[in-house]
Amino acid sequence: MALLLFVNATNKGGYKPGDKVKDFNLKNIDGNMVSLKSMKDVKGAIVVFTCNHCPFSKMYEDRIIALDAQFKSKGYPVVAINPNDVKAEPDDSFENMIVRAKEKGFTFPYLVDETQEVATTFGATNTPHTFVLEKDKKGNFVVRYIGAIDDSPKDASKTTVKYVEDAVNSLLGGKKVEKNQAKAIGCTIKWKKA
Amino acid sequence: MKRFILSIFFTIIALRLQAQDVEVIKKPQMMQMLAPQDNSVYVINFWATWCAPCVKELPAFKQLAENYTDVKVIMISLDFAEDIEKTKKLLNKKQIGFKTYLLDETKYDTWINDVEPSWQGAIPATIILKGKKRIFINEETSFETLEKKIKSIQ
Repeated sequence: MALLLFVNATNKGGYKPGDKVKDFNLKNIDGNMVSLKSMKDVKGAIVVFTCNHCPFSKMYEDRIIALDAQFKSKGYPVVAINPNDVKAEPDDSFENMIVRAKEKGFTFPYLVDETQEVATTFGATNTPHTFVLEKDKKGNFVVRYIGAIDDSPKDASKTTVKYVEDAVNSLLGGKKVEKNQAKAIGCTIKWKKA
Repeated sequence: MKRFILSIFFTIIALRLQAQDVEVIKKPQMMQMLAPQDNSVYVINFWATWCAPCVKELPAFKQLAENYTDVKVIMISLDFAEDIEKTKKLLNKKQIGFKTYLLDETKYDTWINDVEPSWQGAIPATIILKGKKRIFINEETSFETLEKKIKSIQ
């Protein structure tokens, strides 16, 4: 009961830029568990809440793969998390996650947030919904950017602002992230019904 | 004969277009809808043909419009403007005959906060307005819930 109150007190409505992230430990499509702590030699992470079924998530799949290609070697790997309730959306089952990752050639962990606790703690509401984290000197992961990947979901070639890329490049350059939040439409996360 | 067939063809097209009145709007028109000048109850729903829970709840809005004729039901589709035929087809299938809208603004970060600061942009989303009062629903809703909310905002 006390633990629940503590969690609620520190996390009203999800993270804001500047917040320290509570580590998670979620199952990857290869069966192994992945936590932020388990990621060695990283400067941060690009956490993307995404799923199989949502058309907006699908529009961004190639760009998410491109972000991993661009930034993993520089210390900012992508970590994808599927937060959806399988009962509400059978397309988002663990088995289908494995299939999709293979089809598209995902190069990053694709984790399942079975209890939806991580999505709740982060304050994720959409798919896709991206959180750029930076590792501080003490080893804590701090939120530096929240929201959309860029400003053109349908057509990547019409993008004028690449929010996530800009954020990570700022961090790599030792600079403050100027645009630390950007909104975009997407699917609601499929929350479990009580 | 050719002219006769052509005129039938155009009549059918005209009738089809009339069947689904979906007006394409931009941000200024949408913002006007969100700041009504009268004291009616407005129910504004953001949806899209590609959003399954949005489509599932369309009948609730149809029923609301039918049962409460003095409530102004405003459906705003977030489909891409080039996909408007899909929007019209779906509305036709769901037998939604009243005028609806399609917002042609894909730079989402420029208007989501102005519609509702607490909204991250996920759809379905519904706003109920009466004068200065406002209720924001950011999840799939039902006729019963809408009915309850419009009664509470009176």
